[in-house]
Amino acid sequence: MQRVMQRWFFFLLVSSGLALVAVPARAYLDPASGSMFLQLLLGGVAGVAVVVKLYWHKLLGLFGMKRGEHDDPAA
Amino acid sequence: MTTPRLEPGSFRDREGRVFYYQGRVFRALSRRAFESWQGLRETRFFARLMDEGRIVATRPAQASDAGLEALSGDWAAALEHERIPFVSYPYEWSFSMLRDAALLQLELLDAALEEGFILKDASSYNVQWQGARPVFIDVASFERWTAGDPWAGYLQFCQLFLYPLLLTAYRDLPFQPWLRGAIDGIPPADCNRILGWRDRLRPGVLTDVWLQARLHAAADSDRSLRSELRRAGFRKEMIVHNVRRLKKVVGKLAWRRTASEWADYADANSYDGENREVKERFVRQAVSERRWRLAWDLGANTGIFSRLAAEHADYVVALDVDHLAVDRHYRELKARGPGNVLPLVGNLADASPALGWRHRERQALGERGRPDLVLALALIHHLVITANIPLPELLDWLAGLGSHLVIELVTKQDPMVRKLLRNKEDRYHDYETPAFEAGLGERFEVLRREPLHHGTRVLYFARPR
Repeated sequence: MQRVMQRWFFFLLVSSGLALVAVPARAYLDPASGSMFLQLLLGGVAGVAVVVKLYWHKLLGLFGMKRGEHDDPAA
Repeated sequence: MTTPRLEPGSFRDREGRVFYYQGRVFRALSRRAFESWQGLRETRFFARLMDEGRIVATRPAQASDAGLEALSGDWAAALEHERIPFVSYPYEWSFSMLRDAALLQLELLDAALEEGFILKDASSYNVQWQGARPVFIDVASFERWTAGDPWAGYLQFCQLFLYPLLLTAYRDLPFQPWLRGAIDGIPPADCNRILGWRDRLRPGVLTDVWLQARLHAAADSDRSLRSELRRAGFRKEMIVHNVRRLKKVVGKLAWRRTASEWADYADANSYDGENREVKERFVRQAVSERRWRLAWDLGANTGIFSRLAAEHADYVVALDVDHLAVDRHYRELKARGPGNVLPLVGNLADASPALGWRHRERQALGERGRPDLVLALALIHHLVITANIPLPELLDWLAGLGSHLVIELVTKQDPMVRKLLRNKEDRYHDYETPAFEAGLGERFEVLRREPLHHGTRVLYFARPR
């Protein structure tokens, strides 16, 4: 069960990455956004924590746990 | 008065530029690079790795000694580097050489990160060789790590080190032709297309190849992930984690090829003990004639004669077309020396050309230092009969090098040449002993001649006219 959960989590990380990666602005060598995002996943626990931090809202959205703007009762 | 000459292959990083002045090698630094250098020279890792010979010997140079004022561009300072005896490129290295160069790159990065520095790129062209020892040459690659920045060189490391190694280790594909054809290396998508599903279970493939290729394909070019990473707190430990993981992946890569056409030549050639002794004596006598600056052993195989030459030459470049033979030669040199032989993979009939921007970024083989001694033992029958190079043209080329020559003629009566001609029509009328000797005599003065195998092979030692 834990294994399945881990795989799902990894899948979610990757899908969020595929949706969000972008290109940087500095340095003579373009690190390429896809490779930068991958470095988060390959950065151990600390890297995964950053992914969660960066994409928390997206992840919640994927789980259906985040209300969209149109669902806001105040709107 | 000479003027400084820019190294044409060192233009990519605007912060530093290699140049030559009065036979010495310098690196001009921008203001920013000079500040990095001042920090770098205070670090423990830099001093240690330079002492160990893993970073090229480097010292600050007086601007006047370096001719810096005469150099175009706005430069803050100059460094002087020890000269690399013979420049070579990754497409001339064997598998184990590229792997050791990759491990050096990762080792330096790991050590630099511990003291707050990073390597801003990861080009395999930043590694050169002192014999069989890899040396990192681009000291301007070291910069202070800025908090929140990822490792900008990760993709370059994959394209120029990891993917070529994976293709050879997992697919038995030679990386040299690809690297020679693509100065920036192998893109993730191309590597991914070659490695199959089964390979994705192997270390490095699922993440560094497949996932990276997918992420590149999906990249959104309108957003700056870099600034987002800074805000989210990209930490140094994450780079260290990745670098140490890569070290494990690369360290375990092995090329499992055990046989090739020429790798077992030294054990399986047609020489019996007596003839081998005569040949070794002849070569030994020729190479010990004087001290040589640079010797080329062409068709060096696993380097038996390179080692003889190395006793009397400052440096020996041992070239062979057979990748496995060169890999074995390299591993032998690494384990037992001597330290002044550089083994390279290369085919004289298709020698390394000038490549890159304006054809000047990477130099052709012959432009990187002329030899004063050339060994061409059991070689020319392959060039004339297998590669169809006319004998007079081959002799012209050898004479053009302007060096002494130890050459072996393997005649048509020899079993090796008979084998080459077995399925070919013999149109090689120029490949006969009298024609060879006349041609050699026109271009060289023959100092010694020695027949072997009852005259089916002949050795010559000659000097240029």
